[in-house]
Amino acid sequence: MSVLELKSEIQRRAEEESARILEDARKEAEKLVAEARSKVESLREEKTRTLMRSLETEERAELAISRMGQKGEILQAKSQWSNRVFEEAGKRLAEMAEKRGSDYRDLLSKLILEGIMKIEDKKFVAEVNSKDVDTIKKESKSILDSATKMKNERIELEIKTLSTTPMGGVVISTEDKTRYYNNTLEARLFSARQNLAGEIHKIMFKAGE
Amino acid sequence: LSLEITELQELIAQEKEAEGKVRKAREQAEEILKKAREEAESAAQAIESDQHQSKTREAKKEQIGRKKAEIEKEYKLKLAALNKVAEENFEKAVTFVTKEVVKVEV
Repeated sequence: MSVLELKSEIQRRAEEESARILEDARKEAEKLVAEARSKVESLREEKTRTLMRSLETEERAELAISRMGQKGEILQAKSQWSNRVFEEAGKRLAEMAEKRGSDYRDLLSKLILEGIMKIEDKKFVAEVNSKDVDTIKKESKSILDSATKMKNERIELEIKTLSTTPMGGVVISTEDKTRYYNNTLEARLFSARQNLAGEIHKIMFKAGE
Repeated sequence: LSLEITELQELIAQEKEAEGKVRKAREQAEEILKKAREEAESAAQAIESDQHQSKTREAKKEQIGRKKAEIEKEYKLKLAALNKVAEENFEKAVTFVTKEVVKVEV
């Protein structure tokens, strides 16, 4: 082999070696970047999935809170309407009692009778608004006759004035005051409020009637 | 093999040149790999400050806001309908309560 051929061989080998080194480096670099990109992509997808899950949970919670708030307002409105109904009914009962017409006088007698029927005894005290005392005294004979007939025993009734001034009605108690039946209009209205709430809701909020 | 000194010197020079070429190729290879590592690093960092995520979050918040507004509108209509029905049935309800309060069964 001549010197020229040797020199050429050295150059060829060096070029081959250089090309191989660069080719290997390029391949390694491509692999490195591709792996990194793939990892990043997969991380990004996972991160997006996690974020979406979290945002959807957040959305459900926020919308549920919003709906609850709105439902609360509807309930509040219903409650306010219900209150208005009982307030208005109270006013009308007070007006009826204030006029002290025949319907009220008849009602008062019935309220006393009902009280007497609810308690097992024969001596009663009927306490009424001072404005009703005279009315009751006038009606007492008729009330006693009815009570005696209904209870099948002689009933005694004492009429007193209530220290408080209810709009109307009566508090019936036994002579010894151990038992009583509050049949004032306020008490009956209060009781109606407890018992008729469902019925009032049906009447008030049923459309088309 | 019989070589003259000058020829030997030429061969040594050629060998050195070849070594230089290979060394340069190694340096270039190092540079290529360094850039690739930087690129990989930069891709990984990009995910930390991913704008796509904040845009997604922003878009979702806007969507939630729109849905909330729809709910408010829906319930506003329900409330208006409720008030209308209640107004219409108010008298009936008051009459019912009043009658119930004065209803005495003796």
